[in-house]
Amino acid sequence: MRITDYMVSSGLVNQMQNLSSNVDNLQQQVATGIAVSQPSDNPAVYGQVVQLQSQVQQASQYGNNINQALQQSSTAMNALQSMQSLFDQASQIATSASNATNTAQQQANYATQLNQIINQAIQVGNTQFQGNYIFAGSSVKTAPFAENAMNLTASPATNFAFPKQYAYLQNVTPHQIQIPVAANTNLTVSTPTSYSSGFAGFINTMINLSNSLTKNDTAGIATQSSNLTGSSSTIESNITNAVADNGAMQARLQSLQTENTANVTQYNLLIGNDTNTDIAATMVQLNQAQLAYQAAIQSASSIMKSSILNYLSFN
Amino acid sequence: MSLLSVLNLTNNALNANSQAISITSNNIANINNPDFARQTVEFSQQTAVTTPQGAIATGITATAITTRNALLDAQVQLQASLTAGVTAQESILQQLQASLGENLSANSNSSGQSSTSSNGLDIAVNQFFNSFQNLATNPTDTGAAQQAVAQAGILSDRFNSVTANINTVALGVNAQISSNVSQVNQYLTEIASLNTKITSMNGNVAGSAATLVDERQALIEKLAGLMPVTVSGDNQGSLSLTAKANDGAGTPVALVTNGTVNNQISFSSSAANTGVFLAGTTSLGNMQTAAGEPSGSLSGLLLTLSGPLNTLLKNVDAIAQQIVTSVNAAYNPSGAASGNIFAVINPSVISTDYTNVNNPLNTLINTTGHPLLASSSPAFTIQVGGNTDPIYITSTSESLQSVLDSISAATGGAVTGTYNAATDKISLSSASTFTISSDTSNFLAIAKISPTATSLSSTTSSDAVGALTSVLNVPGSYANAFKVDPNFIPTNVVAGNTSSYGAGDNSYALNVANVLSQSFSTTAHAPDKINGTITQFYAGVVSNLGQALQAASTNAADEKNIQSVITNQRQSVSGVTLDEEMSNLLTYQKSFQACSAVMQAIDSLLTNFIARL
Repeated sequence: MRITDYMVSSGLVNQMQNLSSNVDNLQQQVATGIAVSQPSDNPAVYGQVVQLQSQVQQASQYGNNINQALQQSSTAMNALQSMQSLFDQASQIATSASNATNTAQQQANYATQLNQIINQAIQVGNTQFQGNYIFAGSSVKTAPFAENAMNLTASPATNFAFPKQYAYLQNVTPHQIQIPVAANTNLTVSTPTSYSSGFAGFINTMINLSNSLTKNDTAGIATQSSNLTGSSSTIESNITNAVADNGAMQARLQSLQTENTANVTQYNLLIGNDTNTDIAATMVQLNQAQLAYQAAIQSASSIMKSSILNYLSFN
Repeated sequence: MSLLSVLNLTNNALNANSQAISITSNNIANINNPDFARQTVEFSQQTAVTTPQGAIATGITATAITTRNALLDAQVQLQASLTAGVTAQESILQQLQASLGENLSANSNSSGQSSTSSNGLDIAVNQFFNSFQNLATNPTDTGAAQQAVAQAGILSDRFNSVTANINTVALGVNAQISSNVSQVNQYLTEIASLNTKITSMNGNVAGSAATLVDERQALIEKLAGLMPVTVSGDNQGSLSLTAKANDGAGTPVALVTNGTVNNQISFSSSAANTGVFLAGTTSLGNMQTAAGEPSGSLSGLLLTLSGPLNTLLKNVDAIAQQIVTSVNAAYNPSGAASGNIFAVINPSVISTDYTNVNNPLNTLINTTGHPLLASSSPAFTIQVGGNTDPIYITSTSESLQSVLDSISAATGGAVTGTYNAATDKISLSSASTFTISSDTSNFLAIAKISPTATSLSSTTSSDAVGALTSVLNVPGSYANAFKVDPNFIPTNVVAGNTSSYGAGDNSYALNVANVLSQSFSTTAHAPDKINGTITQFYAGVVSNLGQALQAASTNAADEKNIQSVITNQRQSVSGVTLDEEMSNLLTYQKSFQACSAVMQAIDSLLTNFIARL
């Protein structure tokens, strides 16, 4: 084949362009650490990365949600434990007050003590987290328990003109809030109906007992004490169940959090595996490409330097 | 034979060698001219004269022979079309990829962990849905609510800008097509004119038009880079150029015959031949090869426009439409007035369905602010060619029945139409002419018109009929035009049904957040616009575009390699090598010197002879 001068020069230009684009590409991979930076670099991998990345973003939001839920849940746990201790105190008063030999004054003193507990229970029932009442279902801005409320519906509280009247104001089955904690998983974190209705039963029973104590109504005291602590009473078990339920919820959230963190790591790892540059292999390729580039320049320059003109003389 | 005859013969030889040196020097001068075909020297002995003393030689002549090879020229020309076609395709696909803003970059956080993230639409989509998830978790947090509204704005901005980017690419392609078409026509004129000059010069002295032939061949190759042409005739004389008609048989359509331009090409915007190239009135189609590959950059441009670009625009639009529809339904389940988050508002640029041959491409993509979609639009009449041409209508916010009610026949009275729940479309089949009232702000668009619809007209709009046609196919209108609904008051954003269930209800936010993991199906649930989840569908869109670009890049690299091989083959025959020319030059110089020596010898003989007389 005849090799013409133009073939040599245009071939050199083409070759240099290809080699330098190769060097540039490899250099970019080494510099950025990413082998797949655009969809066309590896369409299938890029498609996977888009999906994995979406999962990472979602998982990170789920992580935030779970943290929020855990905090709320642990606030609820504190409240439930306080309520348990208040129940213990109220039970003691109920037991002491059931003694038939108590005087009216003694019973009135018990009533005063009980009223303190009732106050405390109201406060606990109105526990807030970030400005929201956590036992109020979705009506987070309205206190679920209130003092001397005008629109009491719970009987028999309104029938007695006593210094303090309390009642659970909300609907006994409040609308509940769910928090998204994982793909297609929404959890009712701290406001199950059983919590608030359990509290309401406890507080209202204490109010009734307090009223009976104030009136020194022996039969009433016996009935209300039994309602509070008797074998058929569900008040204690309601609170204990709520504590257990909340504990289980926290355990579940923690496990979800662990899983979620592991997922994020795993997704990032997968993205990395798909897209990161194999530095060792790429560096070797880069060296090869650089060598080829240098060789092309050097060989071409030596070929182009020499021609028959170096050897001919015209005279 | 007399000495004087020898002198004459030597003179001939000197002339021949001078000419040979001149040809060599021309070859050397053009050593770097890729269009040049070297000339070789052919020495031929002049006819001997027979005398009683025997035959007497009369010297030699030198003739220039061009090394141009018609077969190699044809191959180079063919390859020029193929290379330019895929290169044009690759270039547009690269622009499209850039328009999506998709690229991965490595990040490292403060704890030294590194991660890779992309910068595409999916980020905005995820952030939007995450912000609603955050709102669901913190339903009374006004910061979370404001963030959700802000993310809605960012999401619509991203979609709007991606669509605007794609439309900019489309407009660029359109401009490139126009400029290429005028370039083709200019080349045709120049080639015809060169044909005339070559014929005339060759008529005087055969082969004297070599420079013009080189020039013409270079023009033909440039022309082939724009569109495929077939060359016939004598490659040293007059040539004819033809293109293949888009009639299935590839009937030749004359472009240039000798010195005449038979047909110039144009880009069709007529209803019958939209989006194809015409030679005169004959359709050339998209000028692709039998295998469907682009041939010539015009072919590459048009095939990319009607293929990947159109698909991308439609897909991005489908995602936008799905988001708008699903998010509005999730956030505003009761369809309350001013309750939607998103609305489609007065698109300023209307894109087109580039695949519908009934849509004139050039008018389509230049259409701006069409009255049908503008809130202050005038009455608008659509004439459809008969009962067999249903028009399908979709609406952004109003019920389809109310859309139907706002359409009345031009002659007065309501148009009868059928709402098909399965397709979520209204089919208007009974009226041939009807008017859509000026209250069109609630129309998304008339989504589709049957290709057999014959005429469309606007009563008050100055838009061309073609432009109106374009509006009837508006992929891109959602992605281009959806915004946070102006009636939606950002400060009123709520996480749920707070009036019924209190401030803590988060059902709406939860519903919106769940849209991201919802799987859609266009077959199982016809109103859906995409298949799979939003992320899956988008990943497929990105992946497909990447695939198209990767394939185009590989094809382009292959075609360039083939082109370089073929060009080298031709160079090997027609190119100039310095070594060869210099050694020829040396030969011719020595011959010249030898002839001069002969002349000197004769001169000396004659001088001696004269001196002794």
